[in-house]
Amino acid sequence: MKRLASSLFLIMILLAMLISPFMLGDYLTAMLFLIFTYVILTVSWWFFCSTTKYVSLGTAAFVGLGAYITALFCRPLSVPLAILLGGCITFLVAFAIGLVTLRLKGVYFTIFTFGLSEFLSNAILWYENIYVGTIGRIVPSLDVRTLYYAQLAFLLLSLLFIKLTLRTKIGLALKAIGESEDTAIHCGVNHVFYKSLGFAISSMLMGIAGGLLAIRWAYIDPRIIFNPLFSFQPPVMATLGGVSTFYGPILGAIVLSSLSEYLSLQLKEYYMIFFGIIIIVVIYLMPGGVSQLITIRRKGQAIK
Amino acid sequence: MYPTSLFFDILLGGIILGALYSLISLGLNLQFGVTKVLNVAHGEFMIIASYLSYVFFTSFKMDPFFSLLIILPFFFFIGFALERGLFGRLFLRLSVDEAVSISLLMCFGLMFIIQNVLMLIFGRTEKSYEYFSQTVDIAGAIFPLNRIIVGVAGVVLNFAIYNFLTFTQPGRALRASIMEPIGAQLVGINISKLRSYALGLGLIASGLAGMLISMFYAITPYSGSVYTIIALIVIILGGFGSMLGSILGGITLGFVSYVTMRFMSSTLVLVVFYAIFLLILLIRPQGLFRR
Repeated sequence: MKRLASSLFLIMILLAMLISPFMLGDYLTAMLFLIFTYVILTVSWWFFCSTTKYVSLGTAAFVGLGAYITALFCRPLSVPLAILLGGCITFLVAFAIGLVTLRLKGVYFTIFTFGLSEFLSNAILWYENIYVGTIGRIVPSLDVRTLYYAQLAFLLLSLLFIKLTLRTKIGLALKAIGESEDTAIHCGVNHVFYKSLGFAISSMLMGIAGGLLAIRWAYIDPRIIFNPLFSFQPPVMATLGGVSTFYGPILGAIVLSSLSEYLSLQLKEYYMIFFGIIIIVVIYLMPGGVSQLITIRRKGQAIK
Repeated sequence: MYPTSLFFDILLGGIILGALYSLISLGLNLQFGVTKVLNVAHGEFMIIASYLSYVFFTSFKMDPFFSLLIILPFFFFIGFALERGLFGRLFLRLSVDEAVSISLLMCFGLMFIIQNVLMLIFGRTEKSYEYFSQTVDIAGAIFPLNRIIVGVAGVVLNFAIYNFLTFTQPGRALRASIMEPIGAQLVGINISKLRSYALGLGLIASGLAGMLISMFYAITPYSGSVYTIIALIVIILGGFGSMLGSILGGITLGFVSYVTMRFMSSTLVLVVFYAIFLLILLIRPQGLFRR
């Protein structure tokens, strides 16, 4: 009965998301597009970083890489092909980075990814200055509604993909590494390979999301697409929602991205101050996130 | 340009930047070593000090070195209060792994707040002031005098901090708690007290570096995070918890960055740093100078 109710609820939400572009204006549709983007980024961050407990701060690097490759190849190829190519290249790049950095303990990885987007944006700036001459790139744009459906489809696919991958051998290996890496190695888990693979999968999703963002913005340059905010938001959103469940990060991303969109509209550019205060206060009060509170309450009821 | 003057040019330029980099990374290394808080807002705190010395210089005609009398106690107090009010309690409540990643997120919060409060007060435009900007000729290498002052002060400060950490009782206690937290407690070192001192001292180092930087660079509210990245790369280069490593690593990167800026392009500096970073990770992940 409970299962039926929750699946009915999910179907209702899905229907609402399908018809909402016709009910809402362009502005709200664009906002939903952005929220979906953040959900994808947060869940793919969560997929690798919470299972293995290796904190990555490199989301912006992969978003930017995907966006840049999409911008480069959308004229010779078609737009969807360019986005997919962006995903493939981010997959390969992330796999290579993983092979090098994930052999080491967590802090090295965190520090490396922290500067990665700055590094890529500088490298691309330098390249374009010397060899291309111009810095920004114009991308053929599509209308908001088409993009909305593309992003919705990608969101559902990636959620399904992550959920299923967690059940396969890859997901099990990642979880085992997160629980106790030494034990996992002793049990014969090829830890470097699986960590790199998990990192590459999560980065690929980020890259595709970046490609879609590039199409949405119609113009990109390294300073815009390698925005450090993309790196910081996913861990914050996932932590606020609670990393122990699958729905926590989704919830956190929805709440926080709509909140920051609202605040940025109300307070213009100073909303980041409030955003910072919110991060500190909320994390300080509940380090386990919102979903942990819910599970605690459920457990409490069960005891009664 | 004569070869000798080129030699002096690279030597001085490298030492000036290097002393600055080691100062920044010493502070961060000390903070992370003792408290396990990866303070990504380190560069932002530095920029606060730069803005403070800018304000004191332009409004009150106060010498930047003199303004340290106000900046340093203030910074020490901030570090102390942050540990007492925020991070210390986190580490009491949670396991170390959780506390490390959660305090990291909190530092991001701090970073956003600092950047945008500075934005609110000072605006987006670059700020700088004229302090001994006449040039001096040292064996054919021409530098503005303020850079020479920065270089000398940087070297002296690094030396002082290193000696403090190596030869004094509190310095030994700090290093002991980096190397063996439990062992340090067993011999009677009060770690929870030491944590607040470590955070305060780290901020003092960033205050010093920020004051020095304001003398010869123009600053914006967002120029801090690059220094955080540089400090982190220096720490990797020198090894976690190794103070001598931080100093030597900082000097090395100072030379690399000066040569890159001088002969190639300043946008390439971070690219070169990353190449070094990757190389170190591949060859010697425990750091170049770690015993």
